[in-house]
Amino acid sequence: MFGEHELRTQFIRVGEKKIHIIENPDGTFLYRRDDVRVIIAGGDGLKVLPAPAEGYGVRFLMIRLSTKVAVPPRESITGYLSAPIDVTVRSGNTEIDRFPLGREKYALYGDAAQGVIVRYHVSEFSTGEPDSVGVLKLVIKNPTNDWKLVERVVVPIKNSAMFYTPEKAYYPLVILTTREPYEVNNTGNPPDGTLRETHRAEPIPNFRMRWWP
Amino acid sequence: MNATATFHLPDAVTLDFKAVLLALVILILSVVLGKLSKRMVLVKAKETELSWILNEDTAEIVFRMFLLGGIIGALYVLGVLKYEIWGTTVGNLAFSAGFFYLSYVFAKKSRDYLLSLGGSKAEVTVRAKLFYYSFLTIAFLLAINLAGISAKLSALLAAVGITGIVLGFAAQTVVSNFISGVFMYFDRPLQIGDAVKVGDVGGVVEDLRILSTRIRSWDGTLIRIPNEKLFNSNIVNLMRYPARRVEVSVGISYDSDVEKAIEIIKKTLDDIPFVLAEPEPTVYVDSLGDSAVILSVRAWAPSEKWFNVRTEVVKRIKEALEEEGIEIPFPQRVNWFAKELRVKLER
Repeated sequence: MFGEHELRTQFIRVGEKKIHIIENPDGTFLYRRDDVRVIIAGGDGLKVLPAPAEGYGVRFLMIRLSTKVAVPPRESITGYLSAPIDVTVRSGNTEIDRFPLGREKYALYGDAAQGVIVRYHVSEFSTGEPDSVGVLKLVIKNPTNDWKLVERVVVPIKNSAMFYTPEKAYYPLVILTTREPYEVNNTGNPPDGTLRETHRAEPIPNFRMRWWP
Repeated sequence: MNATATFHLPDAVTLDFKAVLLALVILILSVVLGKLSKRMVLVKAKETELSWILNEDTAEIVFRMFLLGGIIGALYVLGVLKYEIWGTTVGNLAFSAGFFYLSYVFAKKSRDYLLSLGGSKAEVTVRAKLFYYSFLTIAFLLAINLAGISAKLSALLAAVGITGIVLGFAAQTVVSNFISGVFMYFDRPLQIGDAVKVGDVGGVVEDLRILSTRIRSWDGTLIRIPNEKLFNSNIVNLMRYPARRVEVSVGISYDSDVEKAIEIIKKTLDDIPFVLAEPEPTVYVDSLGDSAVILSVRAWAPSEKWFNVRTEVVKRIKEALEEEGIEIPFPQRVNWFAKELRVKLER
């Protein structure tokens, strides 16, 4: 699924989507996905890589926890969330196609006047990795002396790096600190040391969730 | 032949052959040096990342600078700069013209640089324009002063005072538009790129100018609204906030199951990506109409996607209700007759 694919007639399955590459008699290749058609005039291969779920151009991903998490004082908890992703298809260093994988949904984070449109997803907070293609590893730290409740996490994802295996895509490790206002840190680090990276990217630290928990 | 032949300008400047020759040499030298410098800038422009400052425009400007310097130098050698005109010297006038031209070039380059900076396009455009015009106004006033004609100009202005008053009345609309433009800049009811409604005009703001605002209407025509009129109008900014509400009324027949219809509509809304999950859409019975039970559908969408979402919502709700056998009725009327109707069927 994710990784580099040879340019030859073949199907590439990406989640529920199917990419079809057809070799033309003139030596060019036809890329097909749903209604998208691109003629690839040459090159060595095609890269199919995960990308942050920016959709039509949003900067944040909001994952609402289907079950809220209460964190005791001075404790931290690590878990996994399922997460939506986009898929980018690249020929050389040019993006020839980009599409969302799974359900595409948006929400308004914050109030009507000052809020921001974010990509929206609902997930269970689990200690084991979910079955979904997109995964986000979340560390919730509570440095305060009070119990804290977490209902959602809003992650800055614009231009974020992604990590992947052939079958799964991972967001960088995200740390949520429950000092008010809650602070979210997209560390830019892989959640696991064995994963491949889509590109080198800086961490996106210190995003303050003005509207928490 | 006498090599020191002299030429006489009436009452003022005397030219000799050496001076003319020297002036010509200065001019030619300035052109040659200008061309060389232009070429050097062009070569550097290809190597540098600072292309906003080193480019073909800059090369041309450098060439003109040399030319201007050459012309002034030549005029100096010829003694023309000492020539008095309007109570000042040609030298002062040439120097002030050069100063204003330099300021103009600097202002233009700075404006281009400001425009090339990232950030909100509208914000940057307005800031760049404000800087450009302020800088030019100050440079103009300084140039007048350098030219040594500010006193003359004041006297002239005083002399035409009455004319000024007349012109002032005539120009009051222009001034009013200008001041409204300045107020609008600080009030910021709209920005370039915003979708707006002003009175019966609707469209996208294309440009905010000193005297007027230009709007590209929905049907692709350009509408120029004087700033004064805009300032006094009710402005509806359709994109100021991130989300806008879509409102649709749906009539279903009195025979239909209302709860089921509401569930179907909610499910349909949930399947449309740009119908925001939060704030949650609401569907409720709004009224009992003459021919149908009226359901009100309220959903939020990103402001820039509002129109697409509205059309999609209407289309998908109709399809979903039809698929589930829920009737969207035509207008109906039940007629009662005082006497029983006798109907004769002919075969």
